[in-house]
Amino acid sequence: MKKSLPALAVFLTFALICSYIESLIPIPFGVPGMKLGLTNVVIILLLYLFGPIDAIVVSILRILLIGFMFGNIYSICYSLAGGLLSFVCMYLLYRFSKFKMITVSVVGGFMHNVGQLIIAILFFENTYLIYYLPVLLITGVVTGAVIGVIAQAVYARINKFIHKDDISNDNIKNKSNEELVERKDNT
Amino acid sequence: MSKWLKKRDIILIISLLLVGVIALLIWHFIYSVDGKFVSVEQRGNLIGTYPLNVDKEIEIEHRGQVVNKIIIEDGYCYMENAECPDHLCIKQGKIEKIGQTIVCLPNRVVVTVISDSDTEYDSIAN
Repeated sequence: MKKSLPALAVFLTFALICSYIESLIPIPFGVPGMKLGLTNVVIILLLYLFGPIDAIVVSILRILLIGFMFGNIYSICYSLAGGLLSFVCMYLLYRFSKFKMITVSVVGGFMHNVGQLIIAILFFENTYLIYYLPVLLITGVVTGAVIGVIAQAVYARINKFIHKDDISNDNIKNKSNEELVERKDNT
Repeated sequence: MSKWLKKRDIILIISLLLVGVIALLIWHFIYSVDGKFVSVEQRGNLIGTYPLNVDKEIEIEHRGQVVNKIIIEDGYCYMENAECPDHLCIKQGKIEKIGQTIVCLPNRVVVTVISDSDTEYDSIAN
């Protein structure tokens, strides 16, 4: 599996499915904007496998598609604010520091909730919403850690698979070349 | 696990968690005062402020339809009914302390407990 349009399409579908599954999970506490952030698994994987541009493109497409299907203009704005802020922070950590994937995910979850709360305060013009900040920060760290562990586990397997794929492709090429040479020799 | 997490990772994660916990403690300290009034806002407009010690039903209308029903009872305030898909505002339960809010995102309705009917949001600093 190499970086290609079909591969990105598969990842986008994966992200959409994650969003849908997440919308089926009921939220136990009455804190607005609190959720697991399952799609961040896909975004982190894309960031590590294919690089930042593909990750941000899939992230924005995912938010727009989910917004048009299940949400409204406000939910798109909330998701975009959280998604973009968390992505920028994750990218900076990934690019300029030696932090591991789980930490990158934790920071992503943390900043996602901060971004959403900022947009909510701007929308409602109600600074009292900052009441939810501590709970959102803690849940951001916890869900970010869970997502990070999942992403790390999936990455270890996918990365191996990609490697194996590349190697076996090369082997096939070499083999066929050798076979051709042998055949030529025979004739 | 050491392959997935180095020492600096653990330090950063724990410090982020600490920021949240410390904020929670500070917030708990700030918001531990019983409020006297609730203010109800819809789409950025103040609908009204109501005393918490008088039982009352408040109906919020949008385009001629009742979208939210807020109940004030025994010094508490809660959302009884809402015309929205997720009903998160109802799950937010009863509020009574200054600064506690009930938010209905789809209808853009915010209910906040405040100390006085005429003071602005800065009253939190007192």
